[in-house]
Amino acid sequence: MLEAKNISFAYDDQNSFSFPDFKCGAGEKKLILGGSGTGKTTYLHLLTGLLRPKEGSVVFDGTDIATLKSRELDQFRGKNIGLVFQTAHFIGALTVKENLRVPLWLGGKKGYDERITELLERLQISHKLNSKIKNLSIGERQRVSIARALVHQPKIIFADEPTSALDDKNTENVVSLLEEQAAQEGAALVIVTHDTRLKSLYKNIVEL
Amino acid sequence: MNSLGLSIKNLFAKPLNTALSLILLAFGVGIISFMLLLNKQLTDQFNRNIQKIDFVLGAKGSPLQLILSSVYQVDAPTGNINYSEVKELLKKQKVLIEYGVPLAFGDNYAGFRIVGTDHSYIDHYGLEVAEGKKWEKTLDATIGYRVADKLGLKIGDTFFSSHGLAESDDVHENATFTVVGVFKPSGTVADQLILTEISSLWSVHGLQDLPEDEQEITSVLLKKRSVMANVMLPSILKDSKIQIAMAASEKNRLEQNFGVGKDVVTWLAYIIIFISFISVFISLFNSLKERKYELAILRTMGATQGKLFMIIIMEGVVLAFIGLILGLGLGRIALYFMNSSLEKSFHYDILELNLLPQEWALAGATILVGVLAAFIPALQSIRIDISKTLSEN
Repeated sequence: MLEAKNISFAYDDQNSFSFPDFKCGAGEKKLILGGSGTGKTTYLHLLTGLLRPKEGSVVFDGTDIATLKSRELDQFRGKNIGLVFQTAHFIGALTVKENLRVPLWLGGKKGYDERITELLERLQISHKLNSKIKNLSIGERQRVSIARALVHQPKIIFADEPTSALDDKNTENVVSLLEEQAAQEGAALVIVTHDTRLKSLYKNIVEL
Repeated sequence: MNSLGLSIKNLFAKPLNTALSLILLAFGVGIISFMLLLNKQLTDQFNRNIQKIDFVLGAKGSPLQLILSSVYQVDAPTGNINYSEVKELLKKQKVLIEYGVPLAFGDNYAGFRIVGTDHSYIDHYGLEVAEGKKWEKTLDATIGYRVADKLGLKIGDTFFSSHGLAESDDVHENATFTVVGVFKPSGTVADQLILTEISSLWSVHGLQDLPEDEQEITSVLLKKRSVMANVMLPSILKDSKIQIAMAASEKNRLEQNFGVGKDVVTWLAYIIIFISFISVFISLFNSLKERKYELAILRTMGATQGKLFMIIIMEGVVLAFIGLILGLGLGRIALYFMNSSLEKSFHYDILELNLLPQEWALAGATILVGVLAAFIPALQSIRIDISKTLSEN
């Protein structure tokens, strides 16, 4: 489904990074592991079309996304990719429910209100449906951000450092939560992290 | 969820910034709208009353005062003139003068002016009787609809006049007026007048038995027959005790005097609108800095650059639109209060709530202010580097 070959990226002439090839089929689970300074975030941004590679190709279902126009790339992301960020950020002016409607609106999908409620119930935060984000705890925000990554039914979910600030117990919880939800939606899951605790949980590991 | 909805929610998430911009916009728009409305109302009212009047004859004094008192009934008259002299002039100068409407005034009832005249006044303003009839004899009174309305006067009611043009205790109890009719609303000064025979005013002041060549009136409204009148009449009246005031030139002088104050206030309003432009700009610009991450996230979820641009522009437009509505309302509320106070002192009714053509232009300009103020912040939203913003975290 997603395949990156021979990609490299340069912020300027001095700092050029080459990245390992990457392959992820539908519904697969992958771990991208790398310490700080290894360009994890850059790699993630290249794979999700937030950055364009200097060389090489990132092919998603037969389309080289590096060749898409800016507008097409935005729409591609909106349709196929769900992102869970290290720190959950939302539109502050909106409630939980409204924030979950945003990816649906941007992806041109309507009438998903039931799905929003269902997702929040699965993540056990449906009671916060009409709360403003600022009234949520950190843990609740992370759950909402997982729901937001899933709500528009993307084919692949990327989670950027989802566990770096968590203790062992919560790390396991969050990882299994991500896996469960991705599996229920039939979406592939890619976790990008420096957290070596996750190494034991995964067979498919790309090390940077 | 849509762009407009998101824009509105973003605005209301910052109520203080939004309120400041709205207050400034509303005041700027309100002042301009108020000036436009007031100008329109006064000009209309002035034009309606002065229609067809070319000259006013009266005692020597300020020509503006003569016009104000005789045409608009808002100032004291300049004095009296000899009626037989006037009649002779009207008879002799038929080539120059189409007709003249004699007026005798200086008394009031409950603040409404009593004006003695003849039926040519009715014809001149195209007045129609709603109830009862036109006055026919001394001390008959046919009253304007606002007089009937405010004082609750009905046909057959009687009243005494008081001396002067405002309510006073100096009541002439020697002569009783009887209401014989009420006029339909005409939109002219006649709506707030009590019209009667000239002889009524003589009889109130005990002058009914004066010989004809000593009878006096206050002024005459003249309609010319030929342009020659502009030159000829002043020269004919040069050596008499009668002054001739040109309606058009006095009206222009009045509008010019009013215009100076109007210009100052209008400039003030433009400055306020400019400040509100800066305020909208700063408020959007600052909120954009705080919302950079939010906007980057929108991009990751599929928002195109065009969409972000529209969301920010829309915030400017929504602000401008609400400010505009508030401002137009404010202008009308101010006019309403101005109107109540004008009504008290002059018995003028000048309320109108339709949007003026200039106000449509004002609306367009206000929305443009919103678009322009949002333009640079919107451009910046396009230039946000998503990857960099997200990794700065």
